[in-house]
Amino acid sequence: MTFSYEILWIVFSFLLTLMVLSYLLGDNIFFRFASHLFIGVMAGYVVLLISNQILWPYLVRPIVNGTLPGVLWLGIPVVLIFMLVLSQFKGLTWIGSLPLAYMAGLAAAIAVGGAVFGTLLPQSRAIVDSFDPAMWYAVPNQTWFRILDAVLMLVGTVGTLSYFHFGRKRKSMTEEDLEKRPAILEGLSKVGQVFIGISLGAVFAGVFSSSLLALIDRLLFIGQFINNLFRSF
Amino acid sequence: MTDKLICPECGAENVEDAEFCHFCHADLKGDTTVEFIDPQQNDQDDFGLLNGKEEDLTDILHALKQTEEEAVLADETQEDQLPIDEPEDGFDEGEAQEDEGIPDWLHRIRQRATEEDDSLGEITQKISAAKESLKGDKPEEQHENFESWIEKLRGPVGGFVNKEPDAAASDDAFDEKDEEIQEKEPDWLQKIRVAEGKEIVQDDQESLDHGENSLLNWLAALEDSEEDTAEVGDEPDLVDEDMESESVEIDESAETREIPIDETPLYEAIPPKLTITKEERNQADQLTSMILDENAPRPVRAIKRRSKLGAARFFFAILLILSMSLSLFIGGTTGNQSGPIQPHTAGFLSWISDLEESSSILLVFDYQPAYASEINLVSTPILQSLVSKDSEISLISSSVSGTILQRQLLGEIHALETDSIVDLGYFPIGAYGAFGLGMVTSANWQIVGLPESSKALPDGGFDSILILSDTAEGVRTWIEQLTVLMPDIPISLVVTAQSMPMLVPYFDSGQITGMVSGLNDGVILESELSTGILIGNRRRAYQVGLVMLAAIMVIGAVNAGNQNHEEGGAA
Repeated sequence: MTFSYEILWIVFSFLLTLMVLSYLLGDNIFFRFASHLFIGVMAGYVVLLISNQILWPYLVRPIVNGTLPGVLWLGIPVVLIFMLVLSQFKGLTWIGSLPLAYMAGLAAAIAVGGAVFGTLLPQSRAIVDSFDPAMWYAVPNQTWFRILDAVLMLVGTVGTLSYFHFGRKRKSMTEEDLEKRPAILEGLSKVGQVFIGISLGAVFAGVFSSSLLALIDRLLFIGQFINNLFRSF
Repeated sequence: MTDKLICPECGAENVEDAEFCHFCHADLKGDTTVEFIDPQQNDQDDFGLLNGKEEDLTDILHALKQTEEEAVLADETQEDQLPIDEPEDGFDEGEAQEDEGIPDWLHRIRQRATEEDDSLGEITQKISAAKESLKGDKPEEQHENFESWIEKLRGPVGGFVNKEPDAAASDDAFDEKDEEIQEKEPDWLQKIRVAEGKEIVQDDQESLDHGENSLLNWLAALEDSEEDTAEVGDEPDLVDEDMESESVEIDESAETREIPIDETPLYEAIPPKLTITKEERNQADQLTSMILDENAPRPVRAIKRRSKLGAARFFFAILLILSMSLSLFIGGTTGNQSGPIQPHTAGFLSWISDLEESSSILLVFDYQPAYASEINLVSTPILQSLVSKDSEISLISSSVSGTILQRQLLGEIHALETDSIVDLGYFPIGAYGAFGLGMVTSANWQIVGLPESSKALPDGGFDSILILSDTAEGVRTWIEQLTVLMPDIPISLVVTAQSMPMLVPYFDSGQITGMVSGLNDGVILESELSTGILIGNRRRAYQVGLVMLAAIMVIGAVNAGNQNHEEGGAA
């Protein structure tokens, strides 16, 4: 029985793989069927996951089995959830402003704090440290390479930041000057474009690499399925 | 009428016996006295009209016109008795005789007046013009126009008078007084009164003045109303509604002044002045150009047959799949040759080699099923190494499908049967989950009475954190939160090849200890960790696939360039 169950799932997986690959022939009903099936299954799975992994262990069960202080603490999220639900009704949308504001403010605080202390400051410090002579001579025969790496890192960082600087000249004489950045920033932004282009090219190559690996995995699955199918006969 | 001496030099009036002009002291001896027409005696002569107010000119002209008509009627009666040419000859002769009798200085003045128009007074010019118009070729038509114009002017006056409630009722009572007044009045004034109409109420001299002044008031009001209308029209930003409201205000002001004009205000007949701003003009121009562009004939673009392109795409896809399949299933699994080791890969290898036995490791699953093959390919030897070291592994899923993928991955290496793996569940939203995990792990304070999580974290915290992710954004969120809240815990990454370039700076800054990604790093891990997982055939298919993709892209680019060139040539 177990064997038949596994075979059934393997055959079903094989058919779904062929349906997705049928997009090579263009958009067709098999591809759409597979897409809709994945989306529907994922939506249902998310509901079950949140109910089983979030609401039950962190909300319902502590309320049922917890102490009074714990229940009072959990009353805050319960009220926020209730307000969000009420906001879905016509005429009561304003009720959802408070929980949404709480979530937006919390997300902004976490994101900004993380970006500043987790990315901006450490990356700036890394650039400064890369010009430390001790770093240059740490590895023998790589001194010039490290210096070049530090310079490239500095130029790339400044150029990229300059590219995303959307200022204008302090003293604009003509209307055309309003659309132009200062000459120094304009030149650095050109350099930044080169670094951004290289980075995006690397990301694009990575997309190809990941897609090829996914295709290889599916081809292996199909090959093994056919191989097992012939072996069974 | 008195005798005066007219100075031949300056034209000033002097007394009859004056020897010198009192104005220019010119010699007046020998000059002939002339008959001077006293302006105060204008009721005795038609020239007295010159002294009248200009506003009454129309009525005066009407009276003159009637006089002319009567004269014409009298001439017509005389024409029956006289020859046809006699009046003209008689008129010429009379003029000649008159020219002979006038003094020389007057003749020069008249001659100058005929030669220079400016020498005449304004009123004299108007009277002359009016007389000329009355003697025109079409007297009947002009008469009709004049009549209608006079009636138009008279209408409001009559209307105003008719608005008096007792005026119509007392017409009979005032008839006798009217006759008496008319007897005392000169003929020309009676003609004017007849011309203005009998409806005018004239009970006494005051009412007469009022009737005369009404025309003046009406003209003044007409001029004021025109000025008001012009002011309204000059307003640049007024729209129709504003114009209506403005019109109402003007109408009210007109009533307060009791101006007897038509029921329909005169300014309503004047169309509002259309003012267009520069911005409105530009918008209108754009709209016009848009409409013209929409209606412009366009060349019919030939429908390209995509069957050829679709067949080529299908051909290359099949070619890619076949070539990769052949490289996968033909050629064995030998030939694993690792390339140069990148610094982040070396850092990862050193981290896993330095990891102590029974270390507590947090494993974060943050990738989607589409990238499971790539992540699993690289992370399988790592997990085997961790399990072999009896590490205590805590699992967290920050993606929806993470819980399924972790079971799949750990099931492949048969690690689920061990007791050293604890599933902490799903942490929704990466930033919240990372922040919450970091706060719970690192905070030295706790909120009293806060319910504890059902999934207990390790008492001593984690010795290391390994993040498996397919996106740079997801990894960055975890790094940003954990490096701040748990800065002493080393973090290593297993990522996809597409997210690796964006995460290298975090290795350069020392925020992560190592990172592996893609098939090349998988081959290195396989050879370094000696896990026995052979991925050589995958690497060969991967290389073939890269070459095929590059070739397809080049062919596509060349084809697209040729197609654009052809379209450009056709255009």
